[in-house]
Amino acid sequence: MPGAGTVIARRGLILLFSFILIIVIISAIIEGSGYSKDIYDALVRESVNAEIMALRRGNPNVTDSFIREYRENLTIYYRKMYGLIDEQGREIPPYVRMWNLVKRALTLDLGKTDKVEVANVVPTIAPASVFEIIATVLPRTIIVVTVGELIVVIIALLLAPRIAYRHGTLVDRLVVAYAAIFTAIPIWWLAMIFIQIFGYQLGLFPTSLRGVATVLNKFWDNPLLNFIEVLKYITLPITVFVIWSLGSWLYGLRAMLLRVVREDYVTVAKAKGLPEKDITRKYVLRVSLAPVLTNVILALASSLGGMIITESVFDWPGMGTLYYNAITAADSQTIMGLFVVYVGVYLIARFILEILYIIIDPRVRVK
Amino acid sequence: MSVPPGSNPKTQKSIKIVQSLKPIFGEIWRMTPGKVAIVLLVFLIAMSIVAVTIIPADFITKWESPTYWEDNPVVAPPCWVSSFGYKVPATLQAYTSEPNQVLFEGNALTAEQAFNYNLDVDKLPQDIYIKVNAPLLCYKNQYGEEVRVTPELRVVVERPDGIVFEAWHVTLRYAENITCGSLLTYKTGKESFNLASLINEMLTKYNITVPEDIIGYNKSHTSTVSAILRTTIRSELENRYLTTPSVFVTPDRVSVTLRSTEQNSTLSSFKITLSELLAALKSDNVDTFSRRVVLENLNNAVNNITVLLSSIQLATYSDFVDDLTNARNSLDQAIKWSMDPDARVPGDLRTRMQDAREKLNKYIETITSTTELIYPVVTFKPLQGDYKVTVNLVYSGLPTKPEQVNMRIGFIVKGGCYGILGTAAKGIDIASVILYGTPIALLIGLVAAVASVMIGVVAGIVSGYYGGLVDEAIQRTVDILSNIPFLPLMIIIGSIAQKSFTGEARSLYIILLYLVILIIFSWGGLAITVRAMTLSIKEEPYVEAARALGASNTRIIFRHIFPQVMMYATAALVFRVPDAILTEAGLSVLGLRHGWPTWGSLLADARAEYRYDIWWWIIPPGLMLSLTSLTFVLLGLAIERIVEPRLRTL
Repeated sequence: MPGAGTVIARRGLILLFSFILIIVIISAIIEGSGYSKDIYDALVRESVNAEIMALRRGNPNVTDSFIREYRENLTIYYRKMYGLIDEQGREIPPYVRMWNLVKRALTLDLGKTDKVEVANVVPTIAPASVFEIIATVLPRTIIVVTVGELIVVIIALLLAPRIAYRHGTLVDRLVVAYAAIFTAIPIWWLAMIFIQIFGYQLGLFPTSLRGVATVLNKFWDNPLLNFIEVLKYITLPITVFVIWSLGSWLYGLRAMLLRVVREDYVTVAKAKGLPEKDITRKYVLRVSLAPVLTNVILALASSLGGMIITESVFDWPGMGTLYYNAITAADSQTIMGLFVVYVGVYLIARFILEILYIIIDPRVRVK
Repeated sequence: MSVPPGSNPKTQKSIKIVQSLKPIFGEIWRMTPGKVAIVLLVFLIAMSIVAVTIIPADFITKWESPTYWEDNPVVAPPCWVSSFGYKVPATLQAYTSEPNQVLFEGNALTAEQAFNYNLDVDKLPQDIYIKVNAPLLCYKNQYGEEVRVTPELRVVVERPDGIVFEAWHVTLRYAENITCGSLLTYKTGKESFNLASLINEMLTKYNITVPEDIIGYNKSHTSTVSAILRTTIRSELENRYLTTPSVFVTPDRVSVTLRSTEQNSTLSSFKITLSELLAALKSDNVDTFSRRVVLENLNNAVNNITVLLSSIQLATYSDFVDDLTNARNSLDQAIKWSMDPDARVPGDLRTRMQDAREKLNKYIETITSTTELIYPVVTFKPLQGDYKVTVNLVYSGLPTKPEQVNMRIGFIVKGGCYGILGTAAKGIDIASVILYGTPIALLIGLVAAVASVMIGVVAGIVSGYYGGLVDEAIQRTVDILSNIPFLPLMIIIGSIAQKSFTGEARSLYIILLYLVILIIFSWGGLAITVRAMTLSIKEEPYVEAARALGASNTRIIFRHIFPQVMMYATAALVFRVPDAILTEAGLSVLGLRHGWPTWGSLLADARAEYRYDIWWWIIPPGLMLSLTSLTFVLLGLAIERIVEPRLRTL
């Protein structure tokens, strides 16, 4: 029987393999479909422009013809460097170039973007490093998802045991109906409706959350005041997230608790006349703790991706809005970078969660 | 079961399937979620059938082009809002191919059509125009040459306040290569709108003039002043009311003021400049005749301005213009005489005099042509009542009456509301898109669900039944697929598709690609469950018995395993239908557009324009998405309870 270490190592290997495999497949698709042309063009243009700027600054009286020649030579140089042409100036075929792309993706060498719309999400000045943009923006997404998830779990843990005891009553049915309805409603549409009602009709919250970026960037200047300011922005997305995901959480938790509630030892505890509060805490919730925690952890990883569209609807300056702006500006460089980072973060998150899972739930180790 | 004689085995089989479905249907109907689901499903299917039968075939390609919705108001609410107290002007799109009157008199063919519009609210329509389809008529003259006769379009508007004016008068222009008899579509626009005539009529009708106490004693200025008034009204109507809706406005408040005290600083600076010049010229004590004339004229100019300044509160427009003109004329004389060498005026002083003269002249021009001094404020309000619009299409110079003239005359008032669900940007009719989006949504949902369930069931059975290497391969594939976040992958492949696919079938390919990726990523979970089921069924005694009797693998799979897996797979299938629909919509909202008229596309438009404030734009498509999704969630819940009776107590 393998120990915890072996299990973890095997999972790690599978996740790593998945990561490399998907990067290779995507690189192949990108090269095969000709989508990479934009990426390379942007890279070469960016590098050449940077050198010419440096040249102009160094010697102000270079002639235009010299610069033109210099630019041509540099372009050839960089095209060679990025593996587009070989020493003889011949085009290198896509199936060879593909590995360069894989290497750059795996070393997080994501290049620069010259699209203003994309840089505006931070906000910073284009051209800007894609990796730096993503690194600034990612935490903003994580804040919303984590805080939202925590609130949902707390509410669900408070409510679910009460419902589990009242199985079959009106309240119980209402919860099931609530769950069914909110599974059916797309969360990003709920976001639109909330902006319409609370932003436009009632005027309680800002209708576009883009403004939070500047507040977050200078957060530590005056943490208390800025915190209140951030609250003004963050309330709406978190409320939408909580209302939307509460349904499925309650439903899942209720089903899980129903199974526990029917166990013999709970019946015995009831027969002994223990107060309902104690039964819930000591006999029901404690047993369900491990699966609940796993669920929390897995939900965190999956809502990281699930919030992309919702964020873009809110114009919350996180990964979702970055995605939206990169797509509408047709910025291949950033889209590729986002993909690499997203998959990487997701897989790392899953790996950590699986380790936690093994630590929390001893049964997994035995299985 | 008795089968009527003569029916072929195929119908027998289908009857059998229908009969076996009947109790299942009954059971679904018995449960509340099932009942709701079936009602919703019937509603969706009915909508799809209506959509497929009534909507034109080219809708799918043309629905995004602005010309397709040209006659619709832009971002207008549905018309039923007026019964909830939100008053909006009505939208009118009247077309006729048979004009009220077709006359042939004195070599001219005149088609006349009258339209009526009633404005009963205190708001303005978005636009008003006439659209004609008129043929090019030709005849042969005595030399046998073909003569082309082009029509003249005249539109006369009669307003409720009695104003009658010619809103448009244009001659239609046909390109050289247009053959006789072919139709030209012409739409009247704001460029050809006769705003000047409307303004004239309004000025006369409402007696809007600049008061005489502002003009002052010199009545010759009246025309200049009223030109300023007219320009002001014109720019107000062009900029605030976008020209053509001016048909529906009437002056509300008119006031004309003379901004005389505002001129104080300008006039003082002129006075200072001229006085300085005067002082400089006096200081060098040259006493020639020319110099005296120069000094005298300069002094006059200073005096003119000083007089004006001293009584600026009481000054009229005439005082301003006449005094300043006198000052300028004196300055002209001074400059003229300063050219005389005898005057011995230094060159720099002469230049300064010329500069001052230029500035003064420019200032006079400013106050006589802009609202700098005369300041009219005119506001307008909607004029309610009945409007009568008469359209004349005149072909003059025809020797004989043509036998048949096909024409179409349209009168469009883009009001403040449209149809049953209103319009989005570009005037897109939301109801049409909602209707046509239904079959598309159901189709993509079902295709993706069926394909993914089929793959899942086959892979699960194969994996469970045969085991070994195949099993291992399938299990690892599922493992890897479940590790890859779906949406980021979908986005990157979607954006590659946006660039790579071109041509007519682009939308179809993009949607197919979405479906393929969705299918690839969604069969895994089902395969694992089916594999587990297969593993346990495989060990059942009756399967062993069948095998002992010599049943082939195929027979065992189809006879014993598949039927048991099928019901479960059906529930899984129903649950999966919304996935593809919601994925398509979500990707559209995220900017990965495909170009089909789907609910997601409408929401994507709302996102792109950031118009979440328009409820009739975001609620209907989202509601349809949610209802469709809910239908299948409820249906799935109901089927699941039949498949797993244990769930009924939960």
